[in-house]
Amino acid sequence: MAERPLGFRALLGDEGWARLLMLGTHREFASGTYLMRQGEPGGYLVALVSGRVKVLGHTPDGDELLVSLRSAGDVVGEMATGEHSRRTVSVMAIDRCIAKVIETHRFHRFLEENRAVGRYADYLVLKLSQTIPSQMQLARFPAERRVARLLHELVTLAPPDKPDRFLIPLSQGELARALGLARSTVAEQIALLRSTGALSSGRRVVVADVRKLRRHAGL
Amino acid sequence: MDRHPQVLPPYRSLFVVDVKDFNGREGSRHAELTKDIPQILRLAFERAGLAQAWQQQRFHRHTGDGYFAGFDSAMLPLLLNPLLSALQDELLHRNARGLAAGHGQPLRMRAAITVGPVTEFAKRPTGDRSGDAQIETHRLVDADPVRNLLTRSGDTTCLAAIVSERAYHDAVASGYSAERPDLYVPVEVEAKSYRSRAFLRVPSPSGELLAKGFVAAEPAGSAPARAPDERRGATPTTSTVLDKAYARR
Repeated sequence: MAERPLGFRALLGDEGWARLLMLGTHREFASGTYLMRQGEPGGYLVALVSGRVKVLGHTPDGDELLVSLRSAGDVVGEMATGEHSRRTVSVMAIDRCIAKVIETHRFHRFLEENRAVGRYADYLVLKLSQTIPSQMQLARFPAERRVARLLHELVTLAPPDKPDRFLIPLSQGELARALGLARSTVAEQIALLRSTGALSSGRRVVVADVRKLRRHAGL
Repeated sequence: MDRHPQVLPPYRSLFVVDVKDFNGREGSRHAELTKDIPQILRLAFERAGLAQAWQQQRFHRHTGDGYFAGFDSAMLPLLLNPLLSALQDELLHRNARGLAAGHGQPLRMRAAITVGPVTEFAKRPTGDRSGDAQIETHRLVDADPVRNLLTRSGDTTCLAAIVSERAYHDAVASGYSAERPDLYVPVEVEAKSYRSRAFLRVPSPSGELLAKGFVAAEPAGSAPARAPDERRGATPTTSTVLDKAYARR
């Protein structure tokens, strides 16, 4: 697959990215654990070396919204810049994640020293447009397109060496909530994707044919 | 020469896109990309909630490195808003996921939008047509001011558009596109025998466009597009336009 997601690493270049990682402290996060939680103080950010994460927003009445998916080469947690600002979202590991934790002031010094402030601004534009609500929900795509695009996104961002990278790590309920669709609609679309061979049959949602999935996604 | 008055042919909204650096891409990718362009446009129309409009093109033609289409004139405001932003979003999504044909080289486009009378010689949707509006559309999409928008911005700016003066007055200044008129920056266009005022529109500006505005004070060329950090301050008029553009996002 020639697909390579465009993260901060791609904008910075491999060499710059390697220099950035040297500024951080090595951390590993088990699947299902939080890298940061909404409401906590900020002051540091996390550069993802491997693994996917879910960025989640929690509403005051306890609802959870999938804001975005990030993976290796991305930076998360840069919005809460100081210890006095609070995390506006939670970040949870989908896979086991290897990451570098970098203090925000060191990150900004790095950007200035490497003349990367402009590239970072480009990255923020990219991030703000590549959110689940704007890409999948606000877009007026039909349900088939939305479901296929989210599944494709999850597979594209999966670690290439992960044995079960084609397994969709979200439940049908989570997919439905993320897309703003009824659960029954998501179930219908998954049945359709199974019937064309894009997904394999069986209880779990597993992508069987990425090219077919792309066709459904219009990608 | 005898000249007789004639009735005007029907007014159409004309839309053309051109891929930046099409010829700079690997030749083996050209066919694939040519095939992808209408598909990407169709998805942008779908994303904008205009799937039906895409199906109701009056005529269309592949232009080699782009695509040319005519729509009912009533569609004009919708081609500006929400279509342009939807096309930017669709291109950015594909580029961000490395899906553009051309392996990693992001796909970026120029678009031109005009309105005017178009004579249709053949009833087939791909038949020949003629008219000043059509010539104007092609002149505009190739004009330097819109080309410069892409060379002076970063890869997150996937679309730069230029709109004819008539299209601007009929759809934007009139309020039909429901956009602030100051999102559009006026510019003088000169190409071959064509000379006119037109309007620039960039749904997602970046790089030098943010630092210095849509219209470069000095000829663009030697300076690389990136590194707005090293640039001096913006001109007041365009930065105001952009501040407003961002306030709306």
